[in-house]
Amino acid sequence: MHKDIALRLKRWPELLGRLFFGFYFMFAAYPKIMHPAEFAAVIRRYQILPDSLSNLPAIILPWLELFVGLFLLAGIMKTATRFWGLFLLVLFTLMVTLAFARGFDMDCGCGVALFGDGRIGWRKVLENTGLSLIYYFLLLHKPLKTKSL
Amino acid sequence: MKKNRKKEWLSALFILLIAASVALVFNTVSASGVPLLYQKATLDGKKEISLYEMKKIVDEGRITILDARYDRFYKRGHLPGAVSIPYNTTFLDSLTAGFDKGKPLITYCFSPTCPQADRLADRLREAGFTDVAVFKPGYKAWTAAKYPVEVK
Repeated sequence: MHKDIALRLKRWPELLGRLFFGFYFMFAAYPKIMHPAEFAAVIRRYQILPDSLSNLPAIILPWLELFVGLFLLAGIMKTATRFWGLFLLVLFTLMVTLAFARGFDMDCGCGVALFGDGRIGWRKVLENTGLSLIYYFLLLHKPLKTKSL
Repeated sequence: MKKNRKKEWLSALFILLIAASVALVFNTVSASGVPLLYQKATLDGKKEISLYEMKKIVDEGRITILDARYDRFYKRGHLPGAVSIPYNTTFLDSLTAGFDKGKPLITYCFSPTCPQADRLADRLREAGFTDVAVFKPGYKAWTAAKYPVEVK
C-alpha cells in the first residue's frame, strides 16, 4: 500500500513535466507555423546559417515542436519524443547563448513570443538554460525507472 | 537492449519524418507559405523600374508595390497585389507600419509624366525606407501591354 503511494508520488513530477512542456511546445509552435516568413527572419538575425537556408528550418522546426508537444501530452513514443524535446530546447539555448556571446542586441524571437520583446541578454540565456535543465531532470533523468501515468 | 535502442532511433526518425512531411505539405498549401530556399528581394539600388522588369516583379510577388494615385483610381484598377497609399496621405506612418524599412518598395502612378509616384517615393525615403524605386511607365503602360489588373 505504502509502496504504491510512494510510486504514485514519484510519477507526479514526470506528469507535470509532460503537461507543462507539452503545452509549452504547442504554444511555441503555433505563431511560427502561422508566420514562417517572420520565423525565417528571426533565424537570419542569428547569422548561424547562410541566408538562403533560413526558410527550411523555419518550415520544419515549428512542426517538430508541435508534434513533440502532442506526443508528450499523449505519451506516445516516449523516449524518442523526449529526445527531440531536449534537442529543440538545447538548440534554442545554444542559439541565444551564441548571439549573446557575439554581442547581438536584438529580440530573441524565442519561446512562445515570436513577436515579443524578449531582448537577448543574461536573463534569456539563464531562462533557456534553466528550462533545458528542468526538462532534462523531469523527463529524461532515469526515464524508464517509473511508469508514466 | 540493442533492439530497444534501434527501436528508439527509428521512432526518432519517424517523428522527424512525419513533422517534415506535414510541414512541407502545409507550407505548399498555406497562403503564408515560403519558398524552400530564401531569396533576397532587392532592387540592386535601382531607382526606376522598366515595364519588362515590373512584369517579372509582379509575377514573382516578392516586392511590395504601392499605388500612389488617389484611392478612387486604385479602386477602378491597379497592378496585381499593389497596396493603395495615395501620395498625399496624412497617414503615411500608419499605412506603412507593417513594412520593413530595409525591404524594397516600388511606387507607381498613371503615366511617366505623373508626379505622384516620385513624391510618394521621396516621402518614403524621408521616412527611413532605404530601397525605394519608381515604376516610371505607370499604370497606363501596364494596361496598354494588356497585363492583368486587379479591381476592387
